[in-house]
Amino acid sequence: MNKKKKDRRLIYRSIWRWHMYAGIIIAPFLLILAITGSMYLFKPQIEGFLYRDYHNVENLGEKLTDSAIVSTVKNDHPDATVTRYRPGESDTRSAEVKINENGTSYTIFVDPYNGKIIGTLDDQHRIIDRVEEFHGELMLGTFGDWIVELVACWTLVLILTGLFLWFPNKKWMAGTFFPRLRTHSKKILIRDLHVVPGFWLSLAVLFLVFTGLLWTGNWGTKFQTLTTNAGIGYPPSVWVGIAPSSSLQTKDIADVPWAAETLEVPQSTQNVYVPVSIDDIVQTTNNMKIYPTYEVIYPKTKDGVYTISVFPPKAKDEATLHIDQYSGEVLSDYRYANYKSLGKIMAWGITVHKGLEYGLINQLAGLFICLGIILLIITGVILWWRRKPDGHFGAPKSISVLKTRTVLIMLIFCSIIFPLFGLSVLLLYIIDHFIIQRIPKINYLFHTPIKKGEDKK
Amino acid sequence: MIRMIRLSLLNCLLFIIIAGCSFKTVDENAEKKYQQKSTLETVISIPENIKKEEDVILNLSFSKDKKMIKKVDNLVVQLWEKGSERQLPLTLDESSEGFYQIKTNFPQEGLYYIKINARYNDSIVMPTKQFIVGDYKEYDYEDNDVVHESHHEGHDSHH
Repeated sequence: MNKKKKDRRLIYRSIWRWHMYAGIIIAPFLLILAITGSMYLFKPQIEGFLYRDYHNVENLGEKLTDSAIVSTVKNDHPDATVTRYRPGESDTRSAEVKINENGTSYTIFVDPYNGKIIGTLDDQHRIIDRVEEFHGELMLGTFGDWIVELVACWTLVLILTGLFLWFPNKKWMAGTFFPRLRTHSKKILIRDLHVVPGFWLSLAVLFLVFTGLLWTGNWGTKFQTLTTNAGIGYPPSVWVGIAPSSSLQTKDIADVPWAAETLEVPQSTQNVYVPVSIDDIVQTTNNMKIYPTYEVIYPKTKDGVYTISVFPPKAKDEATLHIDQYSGEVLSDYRYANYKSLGKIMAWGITVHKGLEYGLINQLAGLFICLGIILLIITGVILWWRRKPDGHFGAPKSISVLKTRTVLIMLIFCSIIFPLFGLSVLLLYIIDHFIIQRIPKINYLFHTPIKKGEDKK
Repeated sequence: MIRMIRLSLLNCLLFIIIAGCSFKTVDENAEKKYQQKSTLETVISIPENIKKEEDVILNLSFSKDKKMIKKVDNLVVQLWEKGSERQLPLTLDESSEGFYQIKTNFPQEGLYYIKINARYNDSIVMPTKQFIVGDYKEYDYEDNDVVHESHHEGHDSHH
C-alpha cells in the first residue's frame, strides 16, 4: 500500500472513530432533543386544544377596561403580585393576568366582557413549557443548558465527520443518494438507512443546530453580545444588553418569550410621579400598532418600566417596547425593521426552528427532520452494535488525532468558535491520557490492542 | 514534535477560554448603532404649601434632548381630588415661551392629582403627580393605587 493511500485510510479511520464516539455519547441527548422538539413544534395546536375552555369567550359587545380586568384578579388574589397582562388579540379571546402568589406563578384567564375568572393555571403545570424546558436545558438548569450546547456542538462534529465518511469514492448513486431498499443484505440496508438520510438531512440539521445554539445561555448569549456590540445583530435589550438609560433587567419580572429572556429595561426618569394606569399602557401600545398577541410585563421595581413584548409566528412582526411607568412615554421601540442584517436572519431562523414562520408546512418539515434524526440515531446505534465485539467498544483502529493534521486543524477551528466544545475535547483528552490509558481493562475497552508496527492511538 | 503540537493545542484552548469570557457585556454605546429615541421630559412644579380656597399657580415645562420646547403639539391637563370623579376647573396659559401656567383653586384640603397629556412630534407623555392641599395627612404619598381610571377625558386643552 502506498503512503498516500495509507494516510487517507488512517484519516478515514480517525474520523470514523470520532464519528462513532461522538455518536454514542450524544445519541441519548439528541434523541431527547428530537422527541421534545417534535412535540414543541406543535405548541400552538397543543395549547389551543388543552386550554380551549380558558382561551375562548363569547363576544358580548363592550369589554371592561384593562384596569377593571386586572382589579378583578387582584381582588381574588389580594396577596399576589401582578407580573404580566395579556389583553387578548380578538373579540373572542380571554384576557390573561399572570400573578405571582407565594413564589408560584399562575395565569388567570378572565372573560373581558363580564370580568368573570374562567380559569386558573399553575404555570408549572403547563405541559408545553416543561417540554420546552426539557428541550432547552434537560430540566437541569444551567448545567443542562451547557449539556444541550455541547450536544449541539458535537452534532456539528457528527455532521462534518459523517459527510466525510459519506463522501463517495465510487460514482454509484445507490447507497450514496438513495438507499438500496431491495438489498438482501441487512447490513447494507441499515448502513444505507443511516448514511443516505444522514446526507440529505445534514443541511437541515446544521440549520437546527446553529439556530438552536442561539438559545444557549453560554455560546448564544456571547454570540448575541458580539453581534449586538458590532451593530450587526439585535438592538440592545431585545436579546442581550440594556435599552436606553437602563440598569434594570426584566428577566426576574416574568416569564417573557425566550428571545427577551435576558431583557434589560430602561430606567424611569420621574420617580416622583404616580405610575400610569394599565389602561394608558394598553392604549399607548395599541396606538403603536403592535401585533395583538402582545404581553405587558409589569415593572418589578419602583424605577422599572413596562415592557411590551411580542414574538408572533412571523419574525417580521416581532416587537419589544419599553414604556416609562410614570410618564407613560415609549422609551424604546424595537421592531424587526430595527434589527440589523444578522439580527433579522437570526430572528427568521428562530421562528423557522420553532416551526412558526411558515405555518403547518414549517411544522411538518420540522417533524420530518426530527423523525429523520431519530432514524439516524437508531440505525447508527444498530450499526455500531452489530460490529462491536464483546468487551470492546469496537472503535476503528486509528492513529492519535495529534498526528493527523486535517482532523487537528478542524478540531482547533471548532474549539475556537465553540469554546465549551474545546473544553470538552480537552477534558476527554485528559480522561483518556490520565485514566483510560493507565487502567488496562478500561484501556482495552476503548483502544484496540496494539500490534507491532502499527500506530497506537 | 508531538510535544509542541500538544503545547500549542493547550495554548489554543486556553486562549479560547479567555477569549470566550470577554463577550459577556454589551457596550454602553451599542445602542447608538441601532434606532434611538429621545424622551420628552416633563416638569410639573407644584408649590410646597397649598392652602384651600386660595388661587394657586402650577408651572409646567417640557424639554427634549436637554432643550426646552417652545410649544408642544397638544396639551391636556386634568386635576381632581382622590376618590372624586369631578374634575377641578382650571385655566391654562403660556406665561412665556416653553412655560405653561395652570391657575386653579382647591375647594378643600385633601390629596389631589394632576395629569398631563402632552404630545410633541412622535413623543406622547401622560404623567400624573399627586400632591397635598392643606394639612391633610391621612393619605400616604406612597399609596399608588390605580388613581385615574375614570379620568381619560381632559377638561382643558391647548393646541
